[in-house]
Amino acid sequence: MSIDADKRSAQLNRLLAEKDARIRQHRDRPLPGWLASRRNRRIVALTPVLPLIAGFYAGTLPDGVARSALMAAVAVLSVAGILLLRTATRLLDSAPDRLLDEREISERNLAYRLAHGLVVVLISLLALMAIADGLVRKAGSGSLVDGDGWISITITAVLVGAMIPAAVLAWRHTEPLGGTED
Amino acid sequence: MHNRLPVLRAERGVSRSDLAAAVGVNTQTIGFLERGDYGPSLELALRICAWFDLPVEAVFSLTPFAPMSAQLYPTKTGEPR
Repeated sequence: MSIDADKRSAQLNRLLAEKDARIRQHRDRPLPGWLASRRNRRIVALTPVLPLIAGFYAGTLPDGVARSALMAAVAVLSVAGILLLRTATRLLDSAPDRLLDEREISERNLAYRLAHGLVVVLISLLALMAIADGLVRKAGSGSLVDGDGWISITITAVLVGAMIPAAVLAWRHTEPLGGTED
Repeated sequence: MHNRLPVLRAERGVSRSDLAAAVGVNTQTIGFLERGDYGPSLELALRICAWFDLPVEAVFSLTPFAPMSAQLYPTKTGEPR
């Protein structure tokens, strides 16, 4: 029994070490040339705006193929956006604390704090839309969001909310002069 | 916070990555420290000083350091150039 537990523990430690090595290798790579300039990184940081607009617009469409197609595009954009943002920030938003030093942890903490504010704004926007939709329905003049539109809008908010910390990090990310050269 | 890290590194022929590995931080963090864009924690500052085997005031300062040449070759009146 104890030998099994030891084996499992050793296997777990090995897997963890392999995962850490992969993340470290990824983080040590220099940023791609096109992400070297701060302007380009800031453009990448604005990526979440695209799925946000598309997803909210999809929510206002009637139930049908158009909405489904737009939501599929939102999902693809969001996944691509998260991957892009992680590249731009050298996985800073997702790397475990044990692989980061004090500067990186404080940078990430600050980004999370700012991202929290932005997520609150996003949720407030959803709340305002819900209130406006309710008022329009009560007035009997149709609705802002048809059928299952709220599902699309909520999914969009979740996807965009997941991108915001990495986007804030990409917006604020700076490279020391001379990069990582000696 | 001002520091003499670039001078000390050059003097000892140590690369950023070697220093980073020795004090347990990312190579980029040494770059940020040298540029003055990041103030280290007390623990990191002490680790850096211990590695260079120098007192804290020789490596870090709240006021800008006088140029090394002025300290090595003071004017005849004894004042820094």
